[in-house]
Amino acid sequence: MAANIRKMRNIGISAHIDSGKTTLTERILFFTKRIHAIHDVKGKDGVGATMDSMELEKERGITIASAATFCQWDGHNINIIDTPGHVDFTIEVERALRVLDGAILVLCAVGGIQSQSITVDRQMKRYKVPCIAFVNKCDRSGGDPYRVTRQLSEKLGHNAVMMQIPIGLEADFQGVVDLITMKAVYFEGENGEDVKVTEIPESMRAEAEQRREALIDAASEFSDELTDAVLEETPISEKMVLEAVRQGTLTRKLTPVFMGSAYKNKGVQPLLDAVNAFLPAPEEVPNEALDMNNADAPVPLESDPAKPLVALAFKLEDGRYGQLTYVRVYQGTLAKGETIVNAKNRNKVRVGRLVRMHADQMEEVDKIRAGGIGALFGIDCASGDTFTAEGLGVSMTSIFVPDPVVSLAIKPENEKSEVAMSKALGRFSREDPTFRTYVDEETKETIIQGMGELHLEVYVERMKREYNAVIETGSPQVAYRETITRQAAFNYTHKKQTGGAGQFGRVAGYIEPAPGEGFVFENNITGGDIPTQFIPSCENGFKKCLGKGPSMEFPVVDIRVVINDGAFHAVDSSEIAFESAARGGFLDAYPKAGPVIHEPIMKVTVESPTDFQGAVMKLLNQRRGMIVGTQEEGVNATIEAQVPLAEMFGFSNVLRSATQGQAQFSMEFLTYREVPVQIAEELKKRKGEQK
Amino acid sequence: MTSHAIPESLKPIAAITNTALPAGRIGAVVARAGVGKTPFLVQVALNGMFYGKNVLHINLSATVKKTVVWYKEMFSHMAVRHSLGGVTLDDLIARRFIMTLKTTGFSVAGLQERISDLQEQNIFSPDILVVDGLSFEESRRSDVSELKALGDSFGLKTWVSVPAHRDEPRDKRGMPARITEVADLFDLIWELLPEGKKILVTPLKQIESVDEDAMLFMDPASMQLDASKTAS
Repeated sequence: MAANIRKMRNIGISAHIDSGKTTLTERILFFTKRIHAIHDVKGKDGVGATMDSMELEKERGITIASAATFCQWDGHNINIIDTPGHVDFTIEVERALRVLDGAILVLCAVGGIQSQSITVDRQMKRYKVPCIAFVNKCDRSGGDPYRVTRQLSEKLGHNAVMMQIPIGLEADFQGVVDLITMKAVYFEGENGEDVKVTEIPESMRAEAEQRREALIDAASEFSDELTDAVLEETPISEKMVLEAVRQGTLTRKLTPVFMGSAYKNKGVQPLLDAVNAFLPAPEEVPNEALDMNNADAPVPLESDPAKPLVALAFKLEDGRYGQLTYVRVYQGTLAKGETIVNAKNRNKVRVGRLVRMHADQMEEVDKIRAGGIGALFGIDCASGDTFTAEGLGVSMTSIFVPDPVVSLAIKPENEKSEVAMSKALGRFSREDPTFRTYVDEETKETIIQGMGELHLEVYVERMKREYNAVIETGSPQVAYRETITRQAAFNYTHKKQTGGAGQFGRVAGYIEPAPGEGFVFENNITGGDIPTQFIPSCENGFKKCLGKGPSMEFPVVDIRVVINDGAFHAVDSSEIAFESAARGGFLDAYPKAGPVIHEPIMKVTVESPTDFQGAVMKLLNQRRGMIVGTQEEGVNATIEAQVPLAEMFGFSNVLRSATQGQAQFSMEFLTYREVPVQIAEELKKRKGEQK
Repeated sequence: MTSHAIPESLKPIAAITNTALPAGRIGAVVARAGVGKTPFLVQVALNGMFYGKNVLHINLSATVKKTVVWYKEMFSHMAVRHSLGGVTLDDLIARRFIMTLKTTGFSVAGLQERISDLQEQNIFSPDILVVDGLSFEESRRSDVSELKALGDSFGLKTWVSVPAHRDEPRDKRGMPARITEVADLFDLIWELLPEGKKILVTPLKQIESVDEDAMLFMDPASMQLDASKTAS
């Protein structure tokens, strides 16, 4: 294994569904000799592409879970994280992006920049991941890398610069012209493995010259040397251009664009060269940990294998051999036989088997150095945990995890399924922090929660396929919340005298809105009106009221409870008595505090031909959607709206039939907002009927 | 949506921007690049939204996202300067509709179709039309006169931004050359002129019955509009 950290790359392949990223990954693995035969995604030969290791993914032709895989190209070690493209699995994408140093943004030459690409691009921006673009499917009819490059600039705001131009297009697509070397590159042999470099066809020379000029012009902004060479008209070396483009890419100020057709085995090898040439080595990406002993102050990490270990568990998988934990080492070396500490609970664990993954095959290794990615065996931890050397006391920044917005009741059909289901749920919730599960105490139903309808559907499918659990599902429910809008006072005395010891406690104070703070309890009692030992009981009493709000039984959030007065009895006061008094006080004040219901609002982006723009807006409007804006670009329009999640169930079908299947949409959680009075009334009515 | 309490300090400013143009009339805001046409128009829009008016914001040179950012930015400055009594931008945005069109694809006829569509489907019915980013490199006489007719038929107050150049020659009324060709079509023309530590909103053409003493100016740092009774 090459030890040189400069020759290490951790990259992701991010893209819209169906733009061909799985095929591209497959071809990369073929050309880097990690696999020896080529399969197609939808498995005409029944084998399926190597990265989609889950059955379900093979069937749907999409990639759900990210698998890390290792390969080598031209002396560089490359770890590839195959990231899911659908927004409903956004947490997977975000987690993968966290551990990446760079990414290939795969774009479809026909479809261009689609709403999904916009979401993925935004995530890359958030984690400041440098990227190079690959315009795939240049062999398809309607494929136009020039248009896609333009869109990359206009729609996503990249400084997109073509590094190649296509030789022929659509069915006639033959190869590319490399604008740095100014050579034509063809891909010959049965699987395109023979790269043939020749002179540029005469008919393309003028265009190539012109595009090269544009490339050098864009690149010169990042290199004084290149600028000087341009101004002084001295020869421009390949190295100069490469260095300048690299600088631009690393700072995310330039996005080099490559092109080809993964399916037809064209353009993959130059893309691999570009990964080595332009994407950063681990040491070029600044990373920080938080010092847990010093109020979470940031501590810079160094990609030095000799320093104490800091590693992040970014993905768990239950495989045939037990739990597999994918880790990225940020500092130090993770070595077999050593003892490491889980920063969350300070548990010590011994590193047993250490492997490097190639999709679902593995390769044993002795150590993983700073910058590397690998997997640990049989270690009990959750996704997002940090492992460090003993006594280091730092933790990686926690990954942003949004609260789930949809829930679904599920019921196993028989006992066997029940066992299988609980096993599956345990695994899924460990692997995916946005997927949660609990048993509703009243209905005794098992509830699963997640980020969208599809998110939950996929897990239900997986329970059926991977665990043979036969499951019935209810209809998806929106995670409503209750909160209050104004201050209201309470003064409640709990008194009970029915033989034996009595119960007595009085609490007084007020409740008020506390936006964004969840639940806050404040004790302003002075002079011992309520003895200190009973204060926690008061807090508990209030807390217990929050799980099910008095008005609609939705969880109550963003509320501050302040107690400032009370009374006790030397004999009759007890913890129970104060808990009951608190409960009474809460129920007393709550109706006076202007309670309202909040619902999750989604940011919905629809892309549609302009002809259907009116129809799409109508659909959104019917769904209580508020249209933020419309963006027209030639024949396509993008409509951005904010729509309550409750109205979005089944939207994909409706949209498809209203637009002859030509529109697509993406959606992500935006915020919680008050439910309009009319809808709140309906909810109340429905709740009443359920009882 | 309920209408909001208007902060006292905002009232004199909104009084000018909301009444300068009667419904059905068209006004131009002229300034050099970077002086503040967009923040000016965004505040005109926000002031209207505060008073319950619906704003259709057409941007021909930037994306919806960028336009949204302008609103956020201007609103947050407003919230600092005037006490807005808990009103958030979220409370107002139902009154705003942003439409971005590629300049090359811009036609008033197309716009008219869109507005009719929005009204018929009961999605959005504008009171104020803001057109930002229209290039005046070529003649816009027919566009401006069509916009005027459109505003008239829908009863809209239409605001159009017009870019000027630093060394542009001026006619005897002081109008930059770029706008003289269309000046007769506009009912109102205001120019944003940096002067000292202020950007003065200078009327080049006014609708009668406007309070001559009331002056608007912008703070170049926050781009916030302010009003004063006397010129300074």
